Amino acid sequence: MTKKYLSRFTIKPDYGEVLLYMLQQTEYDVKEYLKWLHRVKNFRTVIKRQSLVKTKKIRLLDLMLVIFTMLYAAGIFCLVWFSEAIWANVLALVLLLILPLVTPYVIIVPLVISKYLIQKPAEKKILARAKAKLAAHPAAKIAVVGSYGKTTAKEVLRIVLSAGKKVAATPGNINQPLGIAKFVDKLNGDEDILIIEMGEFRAGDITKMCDLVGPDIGFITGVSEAHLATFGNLQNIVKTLFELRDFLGKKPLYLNGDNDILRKEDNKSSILYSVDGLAHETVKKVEIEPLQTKFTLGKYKITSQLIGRHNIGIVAAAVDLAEKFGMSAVKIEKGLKDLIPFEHRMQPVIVNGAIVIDDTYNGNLMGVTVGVNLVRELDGFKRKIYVTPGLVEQGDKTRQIHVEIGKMLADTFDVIVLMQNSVTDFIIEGLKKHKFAGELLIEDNPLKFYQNLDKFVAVGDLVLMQNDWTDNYA
Amino acid sequence: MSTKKTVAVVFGSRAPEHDVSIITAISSIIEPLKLLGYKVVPIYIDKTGRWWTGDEFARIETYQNEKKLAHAMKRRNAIELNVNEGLTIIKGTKLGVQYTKIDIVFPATHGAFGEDGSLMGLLRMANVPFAGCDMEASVIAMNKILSKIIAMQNGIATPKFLYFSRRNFETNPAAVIKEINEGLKYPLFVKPPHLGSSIGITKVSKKSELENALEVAAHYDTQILVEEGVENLIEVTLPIIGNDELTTGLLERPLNRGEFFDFDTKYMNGGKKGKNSKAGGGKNGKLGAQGYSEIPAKLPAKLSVAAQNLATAMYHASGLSGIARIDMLIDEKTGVVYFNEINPLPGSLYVHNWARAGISNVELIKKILRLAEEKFAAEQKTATTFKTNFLKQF
Repeated sequence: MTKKYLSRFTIKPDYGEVLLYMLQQTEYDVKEYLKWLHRVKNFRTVIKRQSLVKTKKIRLLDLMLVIFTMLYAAGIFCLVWFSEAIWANVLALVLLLILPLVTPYVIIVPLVISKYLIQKPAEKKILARAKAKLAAHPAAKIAVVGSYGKTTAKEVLRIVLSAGKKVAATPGNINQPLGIAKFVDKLNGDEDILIIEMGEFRAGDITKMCDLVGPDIGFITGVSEAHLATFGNLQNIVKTLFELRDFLGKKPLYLNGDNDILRKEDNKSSILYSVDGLAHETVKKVEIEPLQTKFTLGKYKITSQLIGRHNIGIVAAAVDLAEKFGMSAVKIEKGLKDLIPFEHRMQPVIVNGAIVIDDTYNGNLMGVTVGVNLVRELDGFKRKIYVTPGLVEQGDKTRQIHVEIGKMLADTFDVIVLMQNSVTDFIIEGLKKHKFAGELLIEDNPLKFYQNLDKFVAVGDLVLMQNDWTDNYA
Repeated sequence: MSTKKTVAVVFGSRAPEHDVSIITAISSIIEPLKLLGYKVVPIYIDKTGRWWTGDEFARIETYQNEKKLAHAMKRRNAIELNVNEGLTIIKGTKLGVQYTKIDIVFPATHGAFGEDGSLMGLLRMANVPFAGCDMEASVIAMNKILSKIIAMQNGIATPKFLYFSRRNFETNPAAVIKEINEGLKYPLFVKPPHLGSSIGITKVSKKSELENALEVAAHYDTQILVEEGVENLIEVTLPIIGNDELTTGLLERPLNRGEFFDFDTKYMNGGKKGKNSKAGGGKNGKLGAQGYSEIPAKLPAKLSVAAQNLATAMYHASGLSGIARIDMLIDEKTGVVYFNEINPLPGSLYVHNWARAGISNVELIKKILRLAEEKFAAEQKTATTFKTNFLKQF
């Protein structure tokens, strides 16, 4: 407690900068910011991964903070100057001491006020405009939802369908209503297909976005315990994702059959895609390699640079959808050739002769399992190395999930590198339970480790790097 | 992390390779040591021979900016050494004097006043474990005449050579030139035997160029080595780690298109000397510490094996330990492999080569430190005292 209080008296970066940095990191989400505020133990070590970007908003908040501090100091000064009473001096001292405790809350006042007076009404207008534009847009609209794999699915669909159709898809990992609205704003109106990724944080999120977009086709790419902190339990996540099915009614819905929960939830009206292909077209002759995956799907001989068995299903689904859109085999094959790994998602890169699979955008247990399973399948390496900070947002299952991860890693890897944080001990617990006999390294400076990865690896090494842990989860 | 030993990395020093040493130390040793969780004490010896320590000296930016370097060299960063019962660094701080006991030393100096055995002598006196070659081996390795004599004594082929003292040459140059012309076949290489990085080496193709070449070598050294050039030349080098049991890197061939590497070619031009050299080193080229090179060298299997055997034989014969690199010359037509010289601390530890051989920079450092501790432990078993009545009888 005292240590936390004293750590507020930091000079480089100063206290105000730390608070503003965290507001920026949490995307001005006051709830997340307050959670961090209660969790943080040392304000001096908050800024590790990035630095404060001085946007207009930040400059304005910074100015408000300076004005507040000056007024507060002036108040204390007046109290001491104009009153000779002891109580006034004591009060001045108390006020001075509580200034660092008050500041983090004062800083959010302008944010909360502007949110309800300016931001919310403006957002309402933007969303209404986007909804109207989408309703009038003739393109087929594909909604992609899931706890994991949705960005990959969206990209696979975009690339394959683009070989024969004019396709637009939400960029990067944009998957919230405002981001979707901004994407819609830029549409030309002549697109044949729109692919829209939808991210869920709370029950009702998918319904809201379906209402905005009006999808004709849906994809549910997977269910796992992601964002448990806000959902509470897995069933709530399933229910939220299946809001898409409720909206689509009889329109086509593709479900990832590799996911046990989705397979169970299938009411036989959906199209299941999996590592085995689809019901009417099966996948054969699968060859899993570190830099490519080979398989056949009906008349198509596919060599995909998307690595891992888990990508076969979505590629098969994309082919199926492309055929339904009337694309020729030649064009589909061209689309398949264009498939390249996506940044930070099972992206193999060569570092110092070693194969490094960058899966740092992955953020859930299922993704971890998929990655580990891929490494288990790949042979002929001198060392198998795993690098992770662990998973964020696992709610009260944090311990259980990380012990599970430790168990999974124990019999697969020769070297395990953990980025020191609150879940490190849980992973170690899992490793010990499964008698991990390899080398364990614990790094307290992740950025430095990633920058020096070339010093860690050599020819003959296979490295799997998973998950990311930004400063707001510290 | 389990490892919490304190490792001092000594670099810089009064040698022409001062700057190269900074790169070797910071990039290939200090950073991996930090990644491994060691407590690292950088010890920088400046060009005038003063010793410094402080976090600033572990950052490359310090040396890229004169003001930063001057700032780092504030008085309290100067150090003293205590060699009683191991090595202790004594340094002033704002609050008084700080003593740092060193568990292992990693010498990272190139050339004179360090790599030549002098630093190892000091560390032996302090009885502290240290990485890399020991004093005697370093002396042999850094004296091209001595190492060639060791090669000859052990039946290891080396180009025919003669050597002279500077005094001998300066007092009677005609006799020296006559002896060379009668004893050796042109082309010749004239070398200052104690210097590394090809400094002061001249290739002599004609008799008329010899005297000038001898003068150049005499300018840099107290001895002069003159050796025959190898025809149909292929140069190769092999990094090796180990004390008794050796692990070899990959045979590497510098792509220098027939010209020998001088200092600028090695370090300043990124190895791009010569019209025909291509940036990127061609299809099989690899940018290494000595510019572009072919790793592994594309040689007939028989020649590769012969080179490997020669290098390991020379490593043992010279008493090398920890890490070293053996340079060799091959006559492509006759298939004879000759020993050329030893590098007891390869620039940047040749991490590019080890990575290709499947040993990462971090693993390499771990192995070298383990070898240092093993060597030290073995040495502690050697008796250093001998009971006599000599003093009582005096």
